[in-house]
Amino acid sequence: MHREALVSRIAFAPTPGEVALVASMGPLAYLEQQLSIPPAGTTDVVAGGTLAMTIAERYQVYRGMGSDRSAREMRLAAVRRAVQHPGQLAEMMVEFWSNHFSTYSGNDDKNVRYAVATDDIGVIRAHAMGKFADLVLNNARSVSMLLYLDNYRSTGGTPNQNYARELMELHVLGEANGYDEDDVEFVSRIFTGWGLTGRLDTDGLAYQYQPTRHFTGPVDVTITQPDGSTATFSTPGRTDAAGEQDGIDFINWLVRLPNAAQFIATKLVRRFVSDTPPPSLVASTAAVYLANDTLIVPVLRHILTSEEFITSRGAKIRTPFELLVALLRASGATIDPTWDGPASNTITDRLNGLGQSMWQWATPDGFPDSGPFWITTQTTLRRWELAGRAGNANLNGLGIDVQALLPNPLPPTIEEVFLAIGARFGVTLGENDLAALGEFVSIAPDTPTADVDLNRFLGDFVGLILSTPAFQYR
Amino acid sequence: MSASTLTHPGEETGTCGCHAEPVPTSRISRRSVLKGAGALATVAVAVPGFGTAAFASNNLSRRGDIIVNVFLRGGMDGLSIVAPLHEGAGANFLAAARPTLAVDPATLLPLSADFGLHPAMASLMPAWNADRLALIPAGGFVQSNRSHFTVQKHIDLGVDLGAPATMGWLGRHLEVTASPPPDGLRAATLPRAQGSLDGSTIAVSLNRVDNFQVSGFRGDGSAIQAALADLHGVDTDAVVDQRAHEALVALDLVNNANITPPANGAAYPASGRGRNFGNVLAQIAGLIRADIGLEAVATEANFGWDLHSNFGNSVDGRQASNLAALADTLGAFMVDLGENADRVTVVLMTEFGRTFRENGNAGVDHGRASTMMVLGGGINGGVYGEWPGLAPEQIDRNALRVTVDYRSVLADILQYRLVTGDLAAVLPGYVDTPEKRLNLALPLSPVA
Repeated sequence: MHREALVSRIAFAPTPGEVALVASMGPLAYLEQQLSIPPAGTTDVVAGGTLAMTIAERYQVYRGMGSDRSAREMRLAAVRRAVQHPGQLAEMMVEFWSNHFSTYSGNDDKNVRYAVATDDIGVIRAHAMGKFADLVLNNARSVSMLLYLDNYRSTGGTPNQNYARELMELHVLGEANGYDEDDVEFVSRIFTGWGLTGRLDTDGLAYQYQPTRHFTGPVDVTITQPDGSTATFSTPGRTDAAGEQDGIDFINWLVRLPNAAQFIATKLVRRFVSDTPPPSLVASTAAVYLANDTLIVPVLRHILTSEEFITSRGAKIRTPFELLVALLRASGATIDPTWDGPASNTITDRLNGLGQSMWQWATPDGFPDSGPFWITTQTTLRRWELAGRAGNANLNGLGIDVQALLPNPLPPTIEEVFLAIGARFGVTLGENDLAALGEFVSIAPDTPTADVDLNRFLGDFVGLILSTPAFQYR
Repeated sequence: MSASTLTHPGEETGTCGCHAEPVPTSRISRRSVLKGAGALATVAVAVPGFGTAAFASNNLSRRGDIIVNVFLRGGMDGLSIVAPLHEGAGANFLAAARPTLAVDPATLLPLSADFGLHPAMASLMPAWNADRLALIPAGGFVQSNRSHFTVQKHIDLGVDLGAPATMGWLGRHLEVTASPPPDGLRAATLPRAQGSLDGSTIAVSLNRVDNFQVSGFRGDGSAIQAALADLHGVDTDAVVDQRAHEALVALDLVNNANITPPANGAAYPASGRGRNFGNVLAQIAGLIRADIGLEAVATEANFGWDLHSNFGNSVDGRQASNLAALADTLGAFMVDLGENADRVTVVLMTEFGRTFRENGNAGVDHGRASTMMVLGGGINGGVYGEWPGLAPEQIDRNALRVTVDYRSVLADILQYRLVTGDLAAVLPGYVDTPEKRLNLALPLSPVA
């Protein structure tokens, strides 16, 4: 497996150190190392801010501030972690699961914004490289999800369908994958009583199972499996504290259905391999998921050592987050850690303009994993703008030393300079690219470096290289 | 109770006395011509002076209306928009089903003897009174599905459940409809991509008309643009390359367009939910006035329609303020357009309405039929479609039944206002029959 290719695809970008590491360890050992490193925590991530606070403490900080304050802070944290944390694959999985269990923080967000950072640590980061079953169960009990999809107020008398529907449609099975409208109603009964206790302005909110609000009557949920047979979950509707087990058992049953295996396998293969997931790889991945009782690491190992993954470089377009992180990591950029400082503002402005307002996607389905979604005429212009600004070190709070990208000593011809910069960002520039770069300053690519005013043009050269199609792909 | 029938004003069986002023004579005679000649049958029937082929050959330099497709994501409740005025039309059933949420019928703005408009939508009454607003209270997606994402996707793509499509219905319309030269900016989405134009290489995705530029670089703008063009392959099917060239071509059109501020004293909301959407509509009006070849725009007004809780009552609540924002912005848009409204058709739809009975959280869950709206100078105002009724036996699993396939509304617009090149290609899977058509759009006048 080509080293730079692997590093661009299970790490956000090839830093010189990363490439050397892969060379010395070999790709398989590098992969195993990546599979073993957990996601980053909160240490040295953001200076000031609320990441490590309780919900109650965070409420006291955010109340009276703009409603996008928490999303801004989360974005800064996500970018800093993804750029700096050695566990690159783990940070990719955090991003994947955050989007899979997407919530919205912002205007009229039902207070979700006060809980998102707590659940990022306690649910997503805690289980991103663990078991999918644990991820779903902990997410079901998370304050942010209970608020976002209204389940905390669902009662046996009037169950609220919102969470039950999205649990099946978006989190575990996929749309119309074996369940029908009746099942949505039945599942909503199972999760009645999964509520919240406390007050935001005193001790904060926390999950609490409330037996008196639980639906106590028989519930049967029948899912049609891919092979046409049915699987049924039944509960008599347990009373008292035992009623919580209805939901726990249901989740543990649901995530182990072949429908779930197929859905999660498809999403992960899509994430790493191609927008048209190869059916054979999806099928074998689903089998690994079931054989390993929903453990995520074996599933990733299977995908990332597959023939389809190895031979599919350049199939996936970088999302705005991936683009920004790759640019910053590959250039060795510094990121101001101040929680509400210039880097935070720049990151939010750039991500918004590129179409990825993380933690502010309005609906629970999260951002679509599709190249054409990210590349519109508008976002193309914004990608070029990011590239131009990066090259000219004009991103407030993000310190890019463009001179340090140049090889030392400078190579004799300008095209070797171009090639070196491209290589730094994992891009192999072709004849056409080199000609276009030279044409920009009306010179031939084999012009001696000494004859080119690098002080004047280096920034735009870097910007143009970051604008090449090749850099838009992982 | 007898089911009220909502039909076009003037038709024999209609119950409404909608209009204070007489319907313009020219329109009456046009409808008679259509009825007599059987032109409502299918697209294929040629009526002298009408029909796609005749029009095209007589009017090479004439374009159809500019369509503004506004999708309302989240499942906008329609029962609070067009609601029954009295017991005979089901107001008692609605009040019983929505004890805290139902609009007090006494506050509705009367549209007919049986139905009224939510009072928060007063800003739409000028369009209503000018006979330019069509309301379809039981429109929607015919196949039963209550998943936001599934139905939104299929409506935008314009296909049945499970049918494949890689392009939105409006994109297909552009593909099959020749554009008289010179080719300008035929279609745009604002402020971001919209599903009905997904897959279209004709439509340009804009965020704002004033930031559609190459920026960030230090050197000469045209040299940078030339370099960017050279870095992207032509004649490739790579989306990165395609969008790059589309952007570069569209840049000049957009930046050279003379886009003027709101006209005719149009007052878009300065705050609240309508502010951003109003800003988008103001830009669209500016693009229309700039006359750069626009035929279609797709946008969204996602004000937070998915009110499983906190729906509110008709006086102060989420739904009421959402509807006010929608009406105020649309009203301002019509004023802004002025005479240009004669060649603009605005269509609004949502993926589904909401449940008939409120849930226990002062909200309503996913339903089926909702209110579609069409505005424009070429629209025959009125309340359209068969009213499914609100009696227990008429409610389908706690939802209003869909009696009007959203595609039949689009068919009227596509055929009569946009003069689409191939209706069947734009809406594959939709079986077009006279019975389904509402005839809410007037055919374009041919140029003599």
